[in-house]
Amino acid sequence: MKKRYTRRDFIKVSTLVTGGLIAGFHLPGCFDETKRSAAGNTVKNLLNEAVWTDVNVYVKIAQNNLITVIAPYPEIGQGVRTSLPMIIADELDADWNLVVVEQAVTDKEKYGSQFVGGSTALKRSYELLRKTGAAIREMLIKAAAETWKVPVNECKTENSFVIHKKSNKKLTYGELTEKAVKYKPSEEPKLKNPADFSVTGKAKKKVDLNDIVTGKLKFGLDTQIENMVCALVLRPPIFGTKLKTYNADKALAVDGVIDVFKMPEPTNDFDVHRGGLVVVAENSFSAIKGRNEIYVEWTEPENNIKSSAHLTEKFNSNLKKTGTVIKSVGNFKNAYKNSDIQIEATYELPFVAHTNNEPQNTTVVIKENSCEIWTPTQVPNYVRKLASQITGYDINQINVHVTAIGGGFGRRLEADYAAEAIYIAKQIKKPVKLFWTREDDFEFDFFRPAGIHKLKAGIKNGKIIAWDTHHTSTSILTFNNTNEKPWAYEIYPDNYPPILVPNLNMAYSDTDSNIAVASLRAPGHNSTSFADGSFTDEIAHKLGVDPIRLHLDLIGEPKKIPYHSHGGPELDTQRIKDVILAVKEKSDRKKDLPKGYGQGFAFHFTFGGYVAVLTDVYVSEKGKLSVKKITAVADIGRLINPAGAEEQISGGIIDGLNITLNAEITVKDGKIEQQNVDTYPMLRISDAPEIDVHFINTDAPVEGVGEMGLPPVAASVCNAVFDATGKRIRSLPVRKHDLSYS
Amino acid sequence: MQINLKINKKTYSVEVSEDEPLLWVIRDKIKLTGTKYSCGKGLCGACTVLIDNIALRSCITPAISVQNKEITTIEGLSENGTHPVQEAWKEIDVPQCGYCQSGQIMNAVGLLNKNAHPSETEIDKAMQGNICRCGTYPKIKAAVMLASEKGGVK
Ligand code: FES
Ligand code: FES
Repeated sequence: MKKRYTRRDFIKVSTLVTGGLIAGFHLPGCFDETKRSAAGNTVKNLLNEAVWTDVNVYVKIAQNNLITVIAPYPEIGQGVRTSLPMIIADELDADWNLVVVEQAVTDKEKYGSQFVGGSTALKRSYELLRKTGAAIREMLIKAAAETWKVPVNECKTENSFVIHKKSNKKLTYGELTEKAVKYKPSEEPKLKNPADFSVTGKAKKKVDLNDIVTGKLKFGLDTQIENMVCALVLRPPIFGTKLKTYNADKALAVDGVIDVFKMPEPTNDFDVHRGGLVVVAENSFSAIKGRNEIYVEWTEPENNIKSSAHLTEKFNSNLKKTGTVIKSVGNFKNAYKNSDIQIEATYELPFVAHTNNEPQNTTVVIKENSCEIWTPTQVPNYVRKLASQITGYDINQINVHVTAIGGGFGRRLEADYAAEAIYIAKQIKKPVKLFWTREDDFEFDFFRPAGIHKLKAGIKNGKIIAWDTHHTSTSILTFNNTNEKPWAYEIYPDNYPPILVPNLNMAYSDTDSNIAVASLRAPGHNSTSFADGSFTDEIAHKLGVDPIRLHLDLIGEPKKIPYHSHGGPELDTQRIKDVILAVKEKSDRKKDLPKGYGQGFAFHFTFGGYVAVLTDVYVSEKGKLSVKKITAVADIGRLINPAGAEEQISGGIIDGLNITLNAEITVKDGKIEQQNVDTYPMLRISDAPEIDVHFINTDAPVEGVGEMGLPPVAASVCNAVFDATGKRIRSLPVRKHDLSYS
Repeated sequence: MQINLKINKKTYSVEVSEDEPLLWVIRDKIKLTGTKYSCGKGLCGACTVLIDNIALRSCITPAISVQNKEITTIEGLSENGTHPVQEAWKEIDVPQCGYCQSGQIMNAVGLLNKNAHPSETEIDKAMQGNICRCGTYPKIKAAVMLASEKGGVK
């Protein structure tokens, strides 16, 4: 498996594929059935009468002034089906009430790489989408000016109308489109002044809202194709094992079971599935029952992780070595030796599962001249390429339909389930829906790596002068066979706060493991933030200073520092200081809380976003922890949809809280122990604290939003628990610790 | 065996096995896909439907046990999303990915059928079985309260 979302988008507006009148059939997009035009006509009615003209691959305009805006990327709950069309609609000066959103086809020639991950979707498309909207707006103005025989600069646009300022004559975009598409779009159209934004920057509800609350939205698992069969795979329990022998007689006797056969063994680069046995049945339930009846034996894997304790042993033995130095500033050894106070601590993190609420699935139909795929994926073009490799069809014969997706969190950057479905369809020559049970989803997840951080700090005259991090984990990139920098997804050499310490050493040791790992929301950061954020708090307590004070002292005179990993090119400590001061102000920061009550602070810089949080907890004498409130201040630059941004930060916080309190995947007898949410507790409604989110610096350039809320949570909660009880938590999840006191 | 199921006021005659959960009958045989599969073990609430106005987990309810009962799925709540609970959900803009939301809404309807004005603690207790992986809990709570204020029973 290879890293595959590094491709940049070099698409220019002027070269966007354009069109003309689309005859006849048009797929309905997504809209709110209650929305109306100014004249009171419902969008539903207007859609029925719409005759569309393709302006380019992003925009279609109908004669009755409805506008379809294409959502180029998969929606995984992060809001891009709403926010990205908003960007185009704004520069186009469109009436948002009459905008219908449609999911893009999968085609990187038209839309660039359409992956969603690393909170990059907004950032990497923002400029192109703005220019697309602005260029079309200019074409519409030209068409109106020509119709009226007036100069272009006497025309303005508003709510999907072009208006002649002097005479107040008006034409709808719908009336002008056919004429407008004859002009060549400008490469550098005049963009709006941000003060004039009419759609972005205003809270908008999700375009899919009505379809969700009525159950109409079609997720991958909801795909229904005529004559479709259902398939499940019985996979080798762990990477490195293979099928030894099996007997499917009983399974074949189950009502509705059609066939049981072997998946091909993974051999090629593009074989991202895990082998095993396939059960094909008339429906999902028969497939489940049939699979339970298969007798199977697997080979023993070599060098496998036998248990969680075994893995910890490996971590600890690696931590005794020096590791690969990934950052060295000043002279850590000397400074540490010469410091007044020396502090040392280790922080341990377990494997964590993605637990997408919608289990993995893919539906495939292989026809004579094409292959149709419906899949909930974060990497549609990668699936397209895989399908072409597996079927032997040309890439243009492969149509990947991105469905609604029941959560991404990084799991759907892997395409193992899509590959399985394509192989099965190829084998059985019938439309097939491959689905995973919840148990499959746990056992065959690619987990957030487990690891340990060993930290040391030296203090002189009340200042941190030396910092050493040695991190070991089960590296994602090593698991993916990309060995050059095994640390690159695990730990970031320019992270705050270590980067501000004058004598710094950072090292990484890769711990060999056969447990599948991959990115999970805020990869690397979801682990380092716990260690760095807790350790800073420990230092503050050791020095007897307020943790926020310690951060501000460390920052000193704000400056910009080069940041070489994703989220760079720079780290601006002024922005760190601003969110820290703001969170202090927004929350009510209390001193001398009664025993059992505590507050904890943490800050983290994630992929270009700055987020500071302050958490209030209460711990009862018996040790029951309740997280009462989390106040967050985020600087993620300009907000496209403030409502969406708020819910992403809030959702990230809840995700972070689940990782902090609950989430843990363990290994026993070489296998993943957790199978369902009874043994892998998930945060429930009564555990959700009050969450208060604020944004600052919203004139700064656009950043992403999906991941930034998560990282600071773990440290802030554990720091608060320390404040409340004097107990320092150095391994997650919190539920394993006894917090009782007297 | 052949059984009759009354779903959203329509009667369907379906062939099922004795242990077949209502969830799979609704999704695969009746082809109403608004009711979701997630844990399959009664642990997450994604598959919640109403049986005679009481919220139940369809993944652990054998289809044969609900013959002659009124089964309501999300599609049967209203034609266009105008049930008071759906309206509240829209007003608060609850969903993120949306996958858990049919179950959340059906469970909330079940709660309000029993208790038109639940307290916050009662909401927590009633909605405890419904997981939202995206973390929309604060908004779910707000929407249930709003629906209750506006008279969530219908
Ligand atoms: S799918 Fe029925 S409770 Fe989870
Ligand atoms: S909205 Fe995604 S699981 Fe609830």
